Amino acid sequence: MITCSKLTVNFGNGEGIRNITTQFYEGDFTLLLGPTGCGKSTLMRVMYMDILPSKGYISIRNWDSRKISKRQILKLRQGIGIIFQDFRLIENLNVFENVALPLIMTGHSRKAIHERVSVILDEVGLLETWRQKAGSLSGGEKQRVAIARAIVKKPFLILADEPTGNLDPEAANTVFELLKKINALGTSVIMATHNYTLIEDTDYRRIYMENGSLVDL
Amino acid sequence: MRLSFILKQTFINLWTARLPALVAVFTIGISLSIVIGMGLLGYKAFTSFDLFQDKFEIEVFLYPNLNRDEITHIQNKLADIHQIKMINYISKEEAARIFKEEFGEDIHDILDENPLPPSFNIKLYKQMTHPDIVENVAKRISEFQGVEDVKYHKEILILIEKYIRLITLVGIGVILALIIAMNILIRNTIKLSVYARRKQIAILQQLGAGGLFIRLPYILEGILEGALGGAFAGFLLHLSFQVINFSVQYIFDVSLAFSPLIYTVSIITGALMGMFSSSRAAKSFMYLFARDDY
Ligand SMILES: Nc1ncnc2c1ncn2[C@@H]1O[C@H](COP(=O)(O)OP(=O)(O)OP(=O)(O)O)[C@@H](O)[C@H]1O
Ligand SMILES: [Mg+2]
Repeated sequence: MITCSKLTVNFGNGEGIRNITTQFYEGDFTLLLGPTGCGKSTLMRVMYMDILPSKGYISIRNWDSRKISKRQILKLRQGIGIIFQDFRLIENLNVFENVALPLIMTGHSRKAIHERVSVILDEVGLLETWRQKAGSLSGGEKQRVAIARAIVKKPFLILADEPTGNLDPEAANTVFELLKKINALGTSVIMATHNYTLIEDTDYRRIYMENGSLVDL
Repeated sequence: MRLSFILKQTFINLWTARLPALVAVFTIGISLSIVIGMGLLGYKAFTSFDLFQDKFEIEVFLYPNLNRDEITHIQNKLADIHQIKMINYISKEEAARIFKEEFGEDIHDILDENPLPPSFNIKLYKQMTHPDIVENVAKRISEFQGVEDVKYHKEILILIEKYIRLITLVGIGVILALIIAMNILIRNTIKLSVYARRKQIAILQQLGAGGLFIRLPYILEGILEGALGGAFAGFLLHLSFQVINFSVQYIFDVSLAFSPLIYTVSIITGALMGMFSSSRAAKSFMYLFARDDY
């Protein structure tokens, strides 16, 4: 599904990622591991084409970083659910509106949006909070809203960049369980994390990075 | 649902930045009323100049002792001058009749015989009433055999020429300056709005929102501010028309007719200016403030 070939991102200060060649497979749950500053977030930003590679290329399904247009980048992002450590919700909108956003901007009907969003909110256990402003929620709730927003558009890929980084162990567990469930239903998930206790019992594929490169173990 | 979301965002933006928005609306209103007021005055001035140019005449006085053939000859030569639109012959008798009409006295009663010379009354094409052209034509005619004198209101022509140029220059200058000022104002309110929502814009970009979906609330904000400013301008014009009409009604016999069309024109002008300024501002400030990595 994703092919990286000699993928290099140069930030101009010697930092970034170097010469990454690897594959990510459809339906997989892949864990991206490595110390702070090793380039996990950068690799993920390349995956939703927030940064384009300085050298090499990345191709995701039929989108190729060497010849992708601005419009196609939007299409790509509409197919990827992105989850961040800092949630990135629109705090002055309510839970419902935050989750509905991906559907609103692609022009779905009000009825379709109401149906889909209530199903998803129920799935993440937040149906009762739908009228609350996103800014008023706890960290764990916020991250579940972010997950709901990511899956509401039925993405083919979920990118989760340290989704449990700001959460207590219990909330972190809930979030991880949700991601596992989403993956079990067929969506590919790539998750960057430092939380080794959280993942110790899983046999998901692990990719290790160090200093911007992949590490063979 | 897309549209109602965008509209909601627009009103939230306007409400959160209501003070700068209000300042913008008032200033746009004042500027726009000056622009449109000047436009109307300019239009009035030009139409009255036009009227004058239509009425403008050159009088060609002939020697009293010319015979028919000589007069016809002069008329033919006049007809050859391509700036001339109309030639009207006024005989001695005709001149006496006009004299009686204008002064109420029969020239024959005052003097033994009619001293008024026969003349041609000439009208030029409107585009040919520039003082230099008129002077040229008059000079040519005065050299014709049998022409005693050529008369026209030279000073007025020169005055009009001068005023047309002055009005045009000052008008264009003031209008341009005010348009630039309005543009800067709207730009500034949009800048505030975009800056206040830079995080939200970055989030929308990460979600794959199209540029127009992101920008539309800001563009609508500009359109609304422009249209409200336009309505205020219409109100100011309406008010000033009434004040002017009231204060001059005992002096002049003219009144300025206020047409409701002025409201329409100023609201549409304001809205268009708002749209133009805000769409450009939204685009440039979006790139400036809302980077994906915050
Ligand atoms: N926009 C940027 N400009 C310059 N350097 C950057 C930029 N973003 C990241 N870097 C550098 O690139 C390297 C990789 O950063 P990245 O954020 O990808 O690491 P990470 O693995 O996600 O770290 P963490 O675990 O702390 O999130 C770091 O050295 C970082 O300082
Ligand atoms: Mg990171």
